Amino acid sequence: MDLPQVGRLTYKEPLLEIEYPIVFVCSASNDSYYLFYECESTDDYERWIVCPLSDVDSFMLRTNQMSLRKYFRLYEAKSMTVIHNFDSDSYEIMRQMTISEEDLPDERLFIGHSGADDDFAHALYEDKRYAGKPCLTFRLNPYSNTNGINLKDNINILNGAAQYIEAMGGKRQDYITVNSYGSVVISIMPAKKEDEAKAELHHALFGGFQNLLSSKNLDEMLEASQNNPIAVNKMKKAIECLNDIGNGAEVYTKEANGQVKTSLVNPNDVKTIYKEFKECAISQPTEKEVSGTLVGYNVKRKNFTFVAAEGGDIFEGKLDESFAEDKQYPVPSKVVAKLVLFERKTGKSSKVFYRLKSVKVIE
Amino acid sequence: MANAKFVDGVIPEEFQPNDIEHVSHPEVYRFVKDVPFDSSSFQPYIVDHPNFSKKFATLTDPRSAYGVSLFISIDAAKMAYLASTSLRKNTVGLARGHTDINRGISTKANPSGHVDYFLYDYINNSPADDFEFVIKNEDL
Repeated sequence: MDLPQVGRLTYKEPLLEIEYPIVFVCSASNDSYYLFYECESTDDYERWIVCPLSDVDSFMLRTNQMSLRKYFRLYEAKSMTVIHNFDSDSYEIMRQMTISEEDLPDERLFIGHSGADDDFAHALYEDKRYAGKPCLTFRLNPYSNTNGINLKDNINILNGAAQYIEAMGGKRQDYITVNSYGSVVISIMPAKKEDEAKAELHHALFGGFQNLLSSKNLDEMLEASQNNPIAVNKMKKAIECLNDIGNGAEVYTKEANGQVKTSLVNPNDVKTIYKEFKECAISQPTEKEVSGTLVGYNVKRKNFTFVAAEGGDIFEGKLDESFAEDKQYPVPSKVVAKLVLFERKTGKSSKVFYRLKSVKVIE
Repeated sequence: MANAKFVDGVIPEEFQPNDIEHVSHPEVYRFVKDVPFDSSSFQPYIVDHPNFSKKFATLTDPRSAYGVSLFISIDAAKMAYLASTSLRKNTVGLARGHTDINRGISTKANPSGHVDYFLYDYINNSPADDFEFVIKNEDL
């Protein structure tokens, strides 16, 4: 149908039918969408309330996160009434700032349905903009509002990532893909090195984010990744991208037992990580034995304090994973401690971190 | 190609569904006009709305107007009821029943739980006997 001031609209799909579609979507030639709601029907004419429909709002409606009434109230300043006169087969349009109460649907009307999330994912999958090569990096769960990331955030991440990729001179279809199960995956790495990117970034996420998420401790995360500077570098790039987008993400990881885990990195974490990553780099770790006094340790908190016999230097840090937790050591006691040292450069200065791997009591 | 099971004039030849489209629904719901109801509650929309062809000429596949609307659950029916002023004005409640390929072809439910039931002869082979009244509109 041709609507004055709007142009030609093509019927796309019904969202709710009773004898015929009552709520349906039409597309315009510029790839924008409009939602139609039939608020009146007689033998002479039919009347619709029509509003522009964004991807985000489409999602919210289809997944029952927003009632139809609320949607119209939100966008009523952009709404219009369209009257279709049957006899003349003509359309009249009336712009309006508000929608009258009697034209709005019942507040209890939600037009979503079970499986709507899958439908949306399939729609994305078929969207040629996202039809790319498969690659595994970030997995966004666009219809989950758990863990503090809601649909809108996820759509923003997707759009933000697409903008970021294009701003960097890439093509979104080389980086973003949607599989038929509804996972939106975004690769920060070039698709031409797809396999390498997949392995490296997944490694980075596996070794880094998972630790971060379980410990919420940046140092532990860095330590976990210390043996793989490539992974750290890739993770840095991933974090830069997220920081640029200004959003968090759910991260897909595979645990040692093979179970898949989806974890959260929220926007604040991303900003913190980005800031720290920007300023730091990690040296290769070194190991040395030092005689001194073990003055205290806590296996639950996994920390320790050790004073070197020579020079009285104080070493504080974390217990290494290999540290025998079930073994009791009297404190204070004279020991030979096996320490792992690594250095993190912070701007112009640097900081050394220690891990206590084992102790041998000598007195 | 015409489906010989449809009596003349019920559904234009080009909109007649084929038997292979049939999906049996052991439980479906239909808004009815009266209690007790009769075959008039199971007439295709087009029967009472002669302007239908103009209504949908530019918008939709008009075939659905030749079918009788059913819903696969009370919840799906309720959503339709909340959306439609026409249903609120012209019906009194819901009847529950099933579809039967001897009476017509029922389609697969769409995502919102709507089923089209294309009856071979809505006057002489009405599915009204396959349904019983279950709930008033005001109790939905």
